Order: sequence, then structure tokens, then C-alpha cells
Amino acid sequence: MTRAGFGWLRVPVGDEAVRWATRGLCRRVLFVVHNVTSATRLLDVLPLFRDDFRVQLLATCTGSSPFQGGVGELLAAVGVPVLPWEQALDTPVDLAISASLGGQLHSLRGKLAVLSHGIGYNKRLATPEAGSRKPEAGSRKPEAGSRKPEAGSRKPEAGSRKPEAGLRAFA
Amino acid sequence: MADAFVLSHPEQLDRLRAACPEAAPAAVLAGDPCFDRMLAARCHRDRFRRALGVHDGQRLVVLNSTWNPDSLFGDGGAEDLLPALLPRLVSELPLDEYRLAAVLHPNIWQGHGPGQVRAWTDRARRAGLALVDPLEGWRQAVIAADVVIGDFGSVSYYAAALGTPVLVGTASHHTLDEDSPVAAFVREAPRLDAYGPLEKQLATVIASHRPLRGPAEFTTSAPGESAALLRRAFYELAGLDEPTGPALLDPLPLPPYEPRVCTAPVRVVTRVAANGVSVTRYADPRHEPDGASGYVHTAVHEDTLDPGVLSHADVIHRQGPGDDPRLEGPEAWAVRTLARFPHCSVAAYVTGPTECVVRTRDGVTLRLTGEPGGGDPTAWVSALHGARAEGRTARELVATGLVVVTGSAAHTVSVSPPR
Repeated sequence: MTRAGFGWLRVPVGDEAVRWATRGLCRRVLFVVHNVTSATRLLDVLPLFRDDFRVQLLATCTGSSPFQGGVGELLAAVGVPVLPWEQALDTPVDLAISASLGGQLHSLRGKLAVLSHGIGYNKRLATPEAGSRKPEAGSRKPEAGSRKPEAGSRKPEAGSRKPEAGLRAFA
Repeated sequence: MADAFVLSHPEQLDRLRAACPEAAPAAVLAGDPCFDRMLAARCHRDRFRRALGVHDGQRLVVLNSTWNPDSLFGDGGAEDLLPALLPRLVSELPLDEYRLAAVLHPNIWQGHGPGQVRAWTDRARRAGLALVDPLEGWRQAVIAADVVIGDFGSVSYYAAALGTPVLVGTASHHTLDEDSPVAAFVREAPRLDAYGPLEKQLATVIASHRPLRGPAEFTTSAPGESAALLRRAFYELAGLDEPTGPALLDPLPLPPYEPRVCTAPVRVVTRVAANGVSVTRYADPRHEPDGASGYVHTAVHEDTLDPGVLSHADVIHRQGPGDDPRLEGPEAWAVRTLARFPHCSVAAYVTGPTECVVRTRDGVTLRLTGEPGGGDPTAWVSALHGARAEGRTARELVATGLVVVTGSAAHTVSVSPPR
């Protein structure tokens, strides 16, 4: 089974993307969506990259939020390539932008900017989303071998999730 | 964890430092792009109001709820307010004086299903509630609002930041950081008494409104500057030179035209006075309106849910283009409707936002034409019916026209024979 068989994109990112991409030298800006709510805030800032031929916009969904309804349709309407979360974790990007703190953001391969999706940060940590994140960790194993430099840094997920909880508590 | 942790106000930096000092060096103050889009679109408030069909002199009430059991829409707070509050709002607020729209958090829509949200609000929507698109339309509705009935969610706070009166419908907010500006806002904002008289509370909060300082202060420390600040931060992180042109967010689009269409039965009180015919209409009321001072009748949309109601309607109306090939034309439709429903005194076909064709039981066909924003044609029809019931003849009305008084607004309507 190839990665494409898991729905991985082959263009504009992917193993042989250089063969298929027309503008393959672009910097990659990845919008990390958690749910429709956080996506709307990302859509507020997506137009800041308008008219820039040096940039390829990408999107992915962490799958960590319980609110998955409408995400697929929304991203399809936005019309930028949507990477499966596993591929997003496997794909080096120049900048990842998220409007929520759930999911394994620390495992993304690139600079990370986090926005709030409401008025600033007001909530205490209520229910951890950790439970819904487990399946992802398991399904990532088959690819780990092929990504030597990053594989190591991704292991201590459980430990490195704590700062996130701290941020949400502040938030 | 993040290379840039974007904050909209330095107040958040203080709390970040206290809660998570290791994250503080990544903080970037860059304002609020969502609020900036709202600020930039405020100049279009009038057209956002017209998009919701708000007439001159009418007040737009936005009912807003965030998600979670403690929210206004939630059933886990001290009380489950909404099942009683929503029907009261749609039926107790006079139809021509208030327009009601609901802005619900996307997590309500997506958590329970859009079809479920529509099912929960079916009766209210048939009485004319606008259920605002949670992604595309909510900011325009908040800008357009005269008053918001809300909770501790961001939308209510944005409304307060714009200077709009907010009545907090639920006091529960224990998911909030007590030190956050939103928690302070919920403590200070006027509270809705869900069991008290609603119209009086809304009128009072509008009349006595003094914007709270918190929301305007803490929503953003850089109003109008988020695009420039964020683009700079993003490009720096991505290792690219910024484009030379200005950084701009998209303007908020003009939402589709969605006037209030009430298919629920309406009880109407009319009174002929020196300044015109006053009309007070209530959608699907639980109690008979006080008709002591006037003539009370029932007006029903042809597409009402229970067609049995049509048999005792005094006025039956429908809306649509006059040349709809599926129907036989306004006058023929009216003749047929009067023949079908012997109790009906007036049949009216609303052909556009400012015009309708009316036929009375005594065989007179008239055309009513008003001004843009000059009220709902179905209110004019009820005014005409009320005037006829108090002895005005069609000939007099053609000669003088109609002045339809709803609340504090008076709308001039011309009455003419059909073309």
C-alpha cells in the first residue's frame, strides 16, 4: 500500500511532488484546522497571502477536536490542498498557522504560529482532548522509519503535551 | 511550543506570563483580525440591516449563544432557559417593531447537526426568526443589531465591543478564567430576566445603554492593524520578504436578502386614529392580545404549517413574483382564495418588498405600494382590513392613501386600482 493509498497527496506535496507540481519551489504555509470554529479564524488571515507566487497554501485537520462536522466541506470550499494529518506531520513546511491548541501541534515540521479563535484567551481547561488523539499516534508508526531526523523528536508526545494543557489553562 | 503565540491584547500577556512563563517569549501582539473585519464593515450597517429585512424604525434583536451546557442554548446550567424564552421572544415582541435573529456557535450546529438546530427552532423560524449562518453571516448580523441577548461567548463580547447593548441571558460561566475580561463583562453586564416582560427589558436596555469600557478596551490593543501585524509576523517566520502592497483582510460580504417571512398565524390589533391606522401584530401568540383599544383579526400565510388555520383567517396572503407561471396571477389567485375560504375577508398577494395586490370580499381589487424600508406589505394589508372594518370605503382609501403606524414608525402607502 502506498501512502497515496491512505489518501496522501502526491501534488503539490508528497513523495514525487517535484514531478507533478508546476510551481514546486514555493514556500509552504500550512493552515492547521481543528474544527469549523477555528477554521473560520484561519480564513480571516488566509487572504494575507494573496497574490504571492512564492507561497503554496496547504490545509490539514488534526482530528483532535470532537467537532469534526462541516470541516471537510469547509476545507473543500476553501480549495487549498488538504493533507491528511499524518501527511501534514510528515511534510516539512515553512509556516504552520493554527487557531487552537489541540492536537500534536508540536510534531509539525516547521515554524508554528498560534492564534486565538475567539476573543483572546478566556477559558480554563475543561475536558482534555487527549483521548481523541490516541488513534493518530498508533497509525503513524509505519512511516516513522522513513523520516529519520524527525522521528526522534516526535516520540515524547505524552510528555510534551503538558505545556499545551498549561496554555489552555491560561487560556 | 509555538514560535509565535499571537495575542490580541497585552492583558493576555500578563496572564500568559503567570500561567505559562516559558511560552511568554513567543508572544506576538497582533490585534484581532475578526474584530478588524467587523470594524471595517460597520459603515455597511444599514445594508446589513436591510439584508435581514429590517424596516425603518424596527429593532433588530440578535439572540446569541456560545456552545457548551452552560451557554444560553445549553441545557446544563442552573435553568434550561431557551425552550421557554425562544417562543416568548418570537410571539411577545410585536412583529413590525422587532426583527429577531439567532447567532449560534458553530459547535452547536456541528455538535448536534444543522438539521437538528433547524428542527429545534422550527416554530420560531415559522414565526419569523432568522437563523443566521454561523460562518458567513454572524458578524454582519452583530453589526446590524440594536440589542443582543447573549452569554459569556465571544460573539456577545464582540457585540459589546462594538458598543451594542448586551443583555446577558445566563449567568453561568464557570468555564471562564475569572481573571479574563469576558468574565468581568459577564459580571457587569445587565442581566435578562427570562421570566419578566421581554419588550420592556429590551426597550430599557436600549434606552439606558452606556457601553461598558472593558469590551472596547480588551478586544484588541491594535484596532485596524491586525492585517499588517500578522502578515509581518507570518512572513518573518516563513523566512520571506513581505510583499510591498498593503496587508488587507477581506471585506465582509453583503449577506443574501432574507426578509422576515412569517408563516405562523398572526393576531393583529388595528386602530384607526387621526395620524393613520395603527397596526400591532403578534406571531403565533400564546395569549390573546389586548384588543380593547382596537379591532382584532387573524392573518395567515397561505403556506402555514396547519392548513386548518386558514379556514378561520380574516386575511390570507402569500408572497412571490406576480408572474410566477405556477400560479394564475395575483388577482386570479385572490379570487380563488376568497372562494375557497368563506370566512376570509381579504386575500393579498405580496409581489415584492414594496408592493402587493389585495382583493376584498366585496369584490374590489387594489394595489398597495409603499416606500423601501417602509414596513411589511402584510402589515399594510391588515391596516387596510382594519380601516375597512371601521367603515372606510375603498374609494376613500384610494383618494387618501394609507398611513400605517407600527410602533414609533409611520409608513405611507398608496392605494390604487390594479394596473
